Parts: sequence; C-alpha cells; structure tokens
Amino acid sequence: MKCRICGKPAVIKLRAHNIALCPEHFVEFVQKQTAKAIKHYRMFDKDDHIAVAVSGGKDSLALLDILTELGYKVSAFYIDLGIKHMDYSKTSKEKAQAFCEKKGVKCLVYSLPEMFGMGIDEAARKSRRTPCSLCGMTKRYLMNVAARDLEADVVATGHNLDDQAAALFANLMRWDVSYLAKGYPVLPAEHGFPKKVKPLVFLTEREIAAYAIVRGIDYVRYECPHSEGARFLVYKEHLNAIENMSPGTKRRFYQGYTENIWRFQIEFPEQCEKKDEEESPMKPCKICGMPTASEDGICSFCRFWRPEEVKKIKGQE
Amino acid sequence: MITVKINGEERQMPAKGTIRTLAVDLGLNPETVLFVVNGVLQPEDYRLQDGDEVEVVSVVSGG
Ligand SMILES: [Zn+2]
Ligand SMILES: [Zn+2]
Repeated sequence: MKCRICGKPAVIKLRAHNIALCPEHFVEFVQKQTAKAIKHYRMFDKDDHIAVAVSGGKDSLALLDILTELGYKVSAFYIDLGIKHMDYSKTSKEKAQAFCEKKGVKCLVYSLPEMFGMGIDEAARKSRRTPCSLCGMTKRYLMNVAARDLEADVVATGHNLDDQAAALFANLMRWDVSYLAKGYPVLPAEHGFPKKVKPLVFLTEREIAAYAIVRGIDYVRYECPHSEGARFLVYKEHLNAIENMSPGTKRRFYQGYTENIWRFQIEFPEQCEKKDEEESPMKPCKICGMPTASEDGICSFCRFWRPEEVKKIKGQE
Repeated sequence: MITVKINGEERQMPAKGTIRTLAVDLGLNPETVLFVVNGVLQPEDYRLQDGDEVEVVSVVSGG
C-alpha cells in the first residue's frame, strides 16, 4: 500500500476517506481534520488561550500535540483523582506531565488527595455514591476552576468521533430529547463558566491512536478501573460493526446530527439559549465563589468536598 | 507456515498471511485495532514475515 499523496509506503488505510497515507501525510491529515472541526464549529481562533484537559490517555495528549503544532496558544491541566488501582492516577499523571514538559506547555495539577486528603474511591465509599457520578461532578467543577486559574478563554477536551457518536446512539435509543439538545461539540460560555469545545470530533479513535503511535506519544494504554463505560462500549462496538460494513457511517451519523440539532433544541430552549445575566439563576457559591444554582447557595462541589478554606482548591505547577 | 509473536505469544500462521487475515483469524473488527509490527505501525495489507513481533493495539476506550 502506497501513500496517496507521495507514493511512499503507507502506515494506515482510512477506508472512510478511501486513502492510504505515509506517516508524514497521515500526521498532516489528522492536524487538518482538527483545524477543519475548529473552523466548522467556530470553536476558537489564534488569539484565544486554550486550556486543554489532559488525562494521560491518547485523545487528550494527541489533542495537546495537534493544537501546539497548529500554532495555538495552549496551557494544560490535569485532575489527579487519586485512583490507586494499578497505579492508574500515578501513571497517568506522570505521562501527562512528561508530555506537557516535552511540548513546553504549562500544566496545572489539581490533586484530590493533596487538596482533601483522599481520592475518589475513598470519597465514594464514604458517601455511598458511585465513583463515576462523583468523578463527573468533580471534574466538571475543577475544569471551570482550571480555566479561571489559567485565565483561558476556552476549555478543550479530547472527546473523539466515537465518543460523540456512541453518546448520540445511546440518547437516541432512549429518545432522551433533553440530552439530544445538548450534544453539540461546542458549549458556549455561560453564567461565568468558560466555553467548552471538542476539537477531535471529526477523528475516530483509531485515527487518534494511530496518530499517537506515529508521533511517538507515550500515553496510558489501560482504562480507568471504574469506567462505567461497559454499556457505552457496547454502543461503540455496534457502531464499529456498521462502520466496518459501511465506512464513513460514524461521521455521517454525528455530523448530520449537529446539522439537525436545532430540531431537538426548539423543545428545550432553556438549555441552549444564552440567558441575560438578570434572569440567571446562578449566584456565587458562598464558599468558593464559583457560580451555582443551588438554593442554599453552596455548590455541589463544596457541599461534597467541604474545603475548609477556599485557598485549598488550587492547582500546582 | 511461519511463526509470529502476537502480544508476546507465539502463533503459527500460513506464509504470505497479511495483517488483514490475522485480524480475521483473531476475530477482531479492523475498525477497533491497530497493528504495530516490530515497533512500526503497518497497514492491513502488510505481509507478515517469519519472526515478526506484532503488537495488537486496541483503540476503543470506555470514556
Ligand atoms: Zn505521503
Ligand atoms: Zn463552591
């Protein structure tokens, strides 16, 4: 198999695009697809400062690599959940930090064990919540804190086409219209929260893993031990079976959805329209000052983690 | 027959077998895996050689 562009030996065939590419042109392809998604969905431009959420996995490290190679102004942050199983958090933090250092990108670390004396497992056990629900809430909150601390205009995450298509598939199976109104790869800044974007939505997991291998990115190959993803994986598996039969399906499925999302949004205008500040239900949290809609004025993060002092919630370089 | 090592385990396969035939033998959907042969990413028509060390990289993550 030869590279479609230069004729050198190819390292990958992309059936959805009907091309085979050599390492050099494959890297160019991946970076161009990312640039295309950024432009198509108006995610950010060259003047913006972008905070990349890095987990040590292939997607977020590839994203960091692509954005710096494309010339964007980038910082990173890592959330240390203190997961001890197979040294998951320790290894992923090391890989994330090592890669940021290699790229010359500043990386703030928000460590649950250091801030609160315990990791997500212990906290979940004590509160009888599932680690994944606790983790979701905690990560969403710290993402906003990181954007504030880094003075970033946008937060970018490594969600890829497979993630987005599987979520869409799952939401469609349940006809969960309120979620179907929210699956756009861009969430506008609102209520004092930063804009959030997913620049890898045009790329499959396979393309991103191949990019990481070709670029020599050292990423964590195993999964978070809690990954509630078992059901999610079934949706991915089925989509990949269809993709294998009919290459390009995942992309048409998700991109077509983003063009039709308004059909779901007209039913849920309150979730999509930007509201005036006056009618915003958000007030600063009495403890940490981040916006919250809760009635007692304490955000769900502070209610759970009970920081004795706000100073505690901070990232370390 | 040739002998190749797959994720560290030896396996016999017919000479002139490709990565594509190996994927089929292993029951893998080619959309969900990559094959790194002797440290280099290779496309599906790569013809495996006796003694090749193959790493099968799963690309699907739980998110
Ligand atoms: Zn080429
Ligand atoms: Zn708070």
